[in-house]
Amino acid sequence: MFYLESGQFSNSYRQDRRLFRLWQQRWALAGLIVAAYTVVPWLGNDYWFSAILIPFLVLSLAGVGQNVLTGYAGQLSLGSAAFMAVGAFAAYNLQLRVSGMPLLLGFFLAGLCAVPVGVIFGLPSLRIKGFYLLVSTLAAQFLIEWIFTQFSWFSNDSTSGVISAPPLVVLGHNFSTPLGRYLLTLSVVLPLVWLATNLVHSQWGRNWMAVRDMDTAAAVIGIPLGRTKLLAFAISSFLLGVAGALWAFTYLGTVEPHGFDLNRSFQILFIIIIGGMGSILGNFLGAAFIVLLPILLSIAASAYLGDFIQSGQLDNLQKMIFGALIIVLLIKEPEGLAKLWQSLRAKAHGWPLRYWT
Amino acid sequence: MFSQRLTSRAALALAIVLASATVPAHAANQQYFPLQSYRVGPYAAGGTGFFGGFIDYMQYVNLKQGGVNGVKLVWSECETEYVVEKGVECYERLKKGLNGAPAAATNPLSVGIAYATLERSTADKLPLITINHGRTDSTDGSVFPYVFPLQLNPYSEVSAIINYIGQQSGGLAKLKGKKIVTLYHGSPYGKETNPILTLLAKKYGFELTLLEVPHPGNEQQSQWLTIRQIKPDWVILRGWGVMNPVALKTAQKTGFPANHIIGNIWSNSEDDAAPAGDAAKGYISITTHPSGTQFPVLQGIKKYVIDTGKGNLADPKRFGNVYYNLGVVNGILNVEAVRVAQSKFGNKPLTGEQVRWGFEHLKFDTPRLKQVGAYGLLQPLQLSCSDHEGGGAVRFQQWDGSKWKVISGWIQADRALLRPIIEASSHQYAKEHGITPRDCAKES
Repeated sequence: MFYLESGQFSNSYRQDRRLFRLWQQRWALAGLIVAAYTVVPWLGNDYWFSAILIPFLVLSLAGVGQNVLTGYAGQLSLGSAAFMAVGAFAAYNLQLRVSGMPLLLGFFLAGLCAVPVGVIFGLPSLRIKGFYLLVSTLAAQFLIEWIFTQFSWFSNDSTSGVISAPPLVVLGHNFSTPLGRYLLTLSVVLPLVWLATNLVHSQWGRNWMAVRDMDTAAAVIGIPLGRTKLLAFAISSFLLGVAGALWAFTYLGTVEPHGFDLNRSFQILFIIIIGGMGSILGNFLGAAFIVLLPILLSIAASAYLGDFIQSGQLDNLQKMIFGALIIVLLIKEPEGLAKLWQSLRAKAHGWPLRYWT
Repeated sequence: MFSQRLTSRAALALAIVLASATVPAHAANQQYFPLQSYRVGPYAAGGTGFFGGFIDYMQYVNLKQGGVNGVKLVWSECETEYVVEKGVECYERLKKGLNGAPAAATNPLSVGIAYATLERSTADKLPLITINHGRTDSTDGSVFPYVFPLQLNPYSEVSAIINYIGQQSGGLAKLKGKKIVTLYHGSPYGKETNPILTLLAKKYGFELTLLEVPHPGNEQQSQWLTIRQIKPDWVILRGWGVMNPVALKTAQKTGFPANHIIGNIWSNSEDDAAPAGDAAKGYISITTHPSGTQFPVLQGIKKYVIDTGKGNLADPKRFGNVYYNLGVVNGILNVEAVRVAQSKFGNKPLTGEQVRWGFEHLKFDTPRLKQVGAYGLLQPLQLSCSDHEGGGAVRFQQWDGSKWKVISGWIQADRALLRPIIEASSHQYAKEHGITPRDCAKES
């Protein structure tokens, strides 16, 4: 009834190819963005900004980066946390060593620093595929963590190896409050997601998907395999690098190599598996699932069971519930939460009728 | 179908959480301690012991004295697993207090979480206690008003060890020409004190060799062969986890006597010495607090808490071990800070800012230590606006094959020597973050 396609015609190819063909979608998106800038800051409190919304946004961006590589170009990678670490340390050192470096430019350059690293570790993808590539990207994970621990230059010879991020000042305005950090994160994440969305719908994105679906066939129709794969690595590590810088600067306010260990890579991989491979929206749904659900479980468990069960066992119990939920979800919907959303949308087309054509 | 069920369940779960969040607040006469504890994960042994001791001490204060001047202590736990972002989430969740009881201070017992919540704590005016660890330069309270590396920072730690070696050799002047090897864990933590050791070597004229053991440290043959060639007078072991027992075993194999190895603050628990078996016999380490249950405060906890079945430890055998006693010491310091602050602000639940005043005026001398039953367990210490460490002394203990035996009194670090280095670092931080240091002469 509300979500009708009828009466909306495309008069040109341009209109037909647009990302959001229906006015309902466009309005919903605009409403969402406006709400993120107005209603959320008005409703939210420090806890929501610092502990939930900022990690949610940063991990969504990291998910987008991983999805470009794995979901769209079909290259399995476990090095995402390492690329995030490169971004984080690059952003820190740029701020430290280049006087007067604007914060946002620093984030951008930090992303660029992650690009060559990603491309180098993407080189094996020219020869190997699948699980073998997964293992070779694992090398990035270990090597980069080791480098940042071993050479104290990266952490400015700080005695403890843990460094504090500088104050967040953009154009003379201080964004160090929880609300400010949320707005800053949002303003960095949204344009990058917009960029990534457009990229995956461009010729590049179609090349990636062709390589993913069958690389021999892609080569036959004239897609340069090597360049396409490395491009995916480059774009992916750029997005992950910026996500890493945000993680260190706007979320934790501190950088340490151990924050970007193998567990983080797995976390990001799970975000895209649960959210949906080859979907931009899926990253947000997956990140929400990964960030929110454990917190929700933990709050509910400590409120209702805290008096009966020991704190440590309670945490193990949450892990079991969380794991069970993931299994149930993946059995019921192997294509992830994004697919769930699609079927919901398909139903909405017909509502309140049972069938529609 | 599935989607509908899922959404309805999600809504239900959300409703439950929201309902629990809006429990009516009744501001009882209570002071709240948010506990970012870790009871699962690789550091669980430390976490369960420390938070067990901390909680048991607070239970003891509540049961024996009815709280602090009538103000009951309350607490709740949030599991961090020693993971930084979980610690941040817990901090944000708990900082508001519990049912109207205001939070007094946070005690994460994790360097990473302490760094991540350092600026938040300052902004929220909530003291951040990093007992025996943390940022060394946060000792300078004029730049870090809300951070307290109580008792001992890493610099004081090595300085006290060198002073002990000097004492054993018959005076610091005798250190000249002595050979000391430091075997350190290949991590930022392990390297942290190397500059200070180099400085002390220059000052006292001993020959220092720094040897790194890569993480995790289960293979140290080549390092100990090097040590055998050098023939040092002392080896300082700056280890972590499995590296400690392996070092002791390898030392025995290469014929280096265990009673000339001195372990640092993270090489000093029962779990570090016991796995090495015979090789650990005679091994010396520093401690800020002896293990054991003979202290009156521990006997009190046993009587009121453990024997009545309210103890927090799952394994009662760990009562009185190094981690547990650190938790008790931490509890004594936190509760005393509340008590001191009450003497200024009145016997009522206090805000973090008021408790901070209590920490800055914390003072334990011998009579007061005897009063709380912690004489010999806790070192005499006094904090001030500019000094957030307070003590800087350690005792030395020796492993007799089954337990630690204290073999020295309190040995003081050369804090006057370290102070300028700490201040240089803290002023650098102040400059980077645009902080104007407080004038401590004007604080009351």
